[in-house]
Amino acid sequence: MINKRILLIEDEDGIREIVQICLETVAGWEVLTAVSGSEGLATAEALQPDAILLDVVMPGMDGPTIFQRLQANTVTQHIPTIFLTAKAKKSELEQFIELGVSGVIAKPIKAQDLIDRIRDILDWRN
Amino acid sequence: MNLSSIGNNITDRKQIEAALYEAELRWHTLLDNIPLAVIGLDRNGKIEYVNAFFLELVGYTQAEVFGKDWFKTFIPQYQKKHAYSSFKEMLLRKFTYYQNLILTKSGEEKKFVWKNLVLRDLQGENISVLSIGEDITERQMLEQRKDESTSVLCHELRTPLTSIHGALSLLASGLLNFQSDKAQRVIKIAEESTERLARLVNDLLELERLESGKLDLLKQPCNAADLMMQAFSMMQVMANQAGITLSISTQAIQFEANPDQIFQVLTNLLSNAIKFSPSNSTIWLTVELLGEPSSGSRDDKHHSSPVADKQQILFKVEDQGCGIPANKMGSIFERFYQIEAADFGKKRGTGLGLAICRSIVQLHGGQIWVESTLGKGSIFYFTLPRRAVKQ
Ligand SMILES: Nc1ncnc2c1ncn2[C@@H]1O[C@H](COP(=O)(O)OP(=O)(O)OP(=O)(O)O)[C@@H](O)[C@H]1O
Ligand SMILES: [Mg+2]
Repeated sequence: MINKRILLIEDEDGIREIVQICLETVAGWEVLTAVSGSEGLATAEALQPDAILLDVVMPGMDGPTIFQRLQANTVTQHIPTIFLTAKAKKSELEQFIELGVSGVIAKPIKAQDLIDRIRDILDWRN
Repeated sequence: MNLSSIGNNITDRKQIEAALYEAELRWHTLLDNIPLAVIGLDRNGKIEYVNAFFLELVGYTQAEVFGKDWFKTFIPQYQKKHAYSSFKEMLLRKFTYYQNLILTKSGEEKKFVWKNLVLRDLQGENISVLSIGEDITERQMLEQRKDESTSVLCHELRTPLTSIHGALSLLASGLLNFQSDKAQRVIKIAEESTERLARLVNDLLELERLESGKLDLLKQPCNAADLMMQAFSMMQVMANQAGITLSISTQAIQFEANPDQIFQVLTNLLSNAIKFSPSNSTIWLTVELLGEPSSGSRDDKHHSSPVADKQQILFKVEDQGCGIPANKMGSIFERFYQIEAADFGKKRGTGLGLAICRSIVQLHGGQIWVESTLGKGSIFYFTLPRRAVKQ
């Protein structure tokens, strides 16, 4: 498999580190990280990752706002984006899909499940 | 009809008039003092009556609104059409009930609920509408805030849980070599998140207990100097690590309070001061007595003089830290409220410290507040009545 590069935008230190370790060591992907929306937008534009994992609830810019910014930028609008969320309400999930995100993954997440889900959503099966 | 019966008729009429006047007065007094809005409109929506309570809420005088069009005066532009058509519809029925937004003189919007009664004449023609309303702006805001704080609470509880769950599942999957640095790091994260979750649950339970009102304060004689020294030594290590000097000036003031709780307020305020101050700065903890000292035996708690009852003890925690923006000074005492700042508070707290302080101080019958200059520093004050208030 060609090496994939994922940008993870998550404000919580613990969650960010664990997801990073999981994706790097278990899936073997390269992981870029950002702790806030503004940092994430800058990284996405500069480094053009293959996919973006985006936390929904963050202080400052939240997930949907960041996603809309990504969409509004011709350099980043093609990058498939997946929401990471602890809110598992059906109506909210539907709202997110309507926004046009590639997928939504509900926290809490098991390591292998997370990787499998990402592969499914992005069609990264070999 | 004889003279005396005419005389009787006149007295009767006078009595009836007096009684009517009396009744009228009683209704007016009621309408003008009732803590509800009362308004009367004619069939076209002209204002025929408004009571004092409503006038006060909206900031107009009687003369300013009398005879005016209700919709032009009080209904926000974007709702006028809708409001007018529902008014017309309402005239066809007897009782109705609705909610709407009312525009005050200063342009503020207030939410009202109304109960309306349509008064008809003998022919059944509509004459007027009498409405009784209540301002629910505040109540709605409180409810909204409660909803918000519940969703914040869920987020705060889920965050460390997600880390713990992620960490353990990663370790359990066998996908990671247990001896590797990565695995050790994952264990560390799980440990820290567990600690944070435990602290959060403890703080929340504490706050619930404090705010339930069922708590017995168990006040006992305390000595300000002792409590301050204890808080001081408790926080000394944290201050040293941060390169901050703690300066304390005590007075042996006796007062009645729950010593554990006052100790907690002091340590919470000191820990904030340390957390939000740069190294090489100083934090001062001081105390003073407000109000006249009593002439009698000061520390005899069985014979507290009336003067001593009014005395307040004032604690002060002053720092040279980052300060607090003026518009946030009220909010920081709310649950979970934390000011976003990139360079401070790497280890995020729970945002419950000041909420707990406020509950404790208020339970004691005291007050807590802050003065601050952004970039210069903050002073947190709290007062306690010197003698316990009898409950
Ligand atoms: N001395 C201070 N100087 C500057 N900001 C302060 C100070 N004390 C409190 N604050 C602000 O008020 C917020 C709320 O304080 P609080 O003590 O309730 O929570 P916390 O310290 O963040 O977390 P916790 O005390 O629960 O560990 C802080 O996050 C900080 O933004
Ligand atoms: Mg604190």
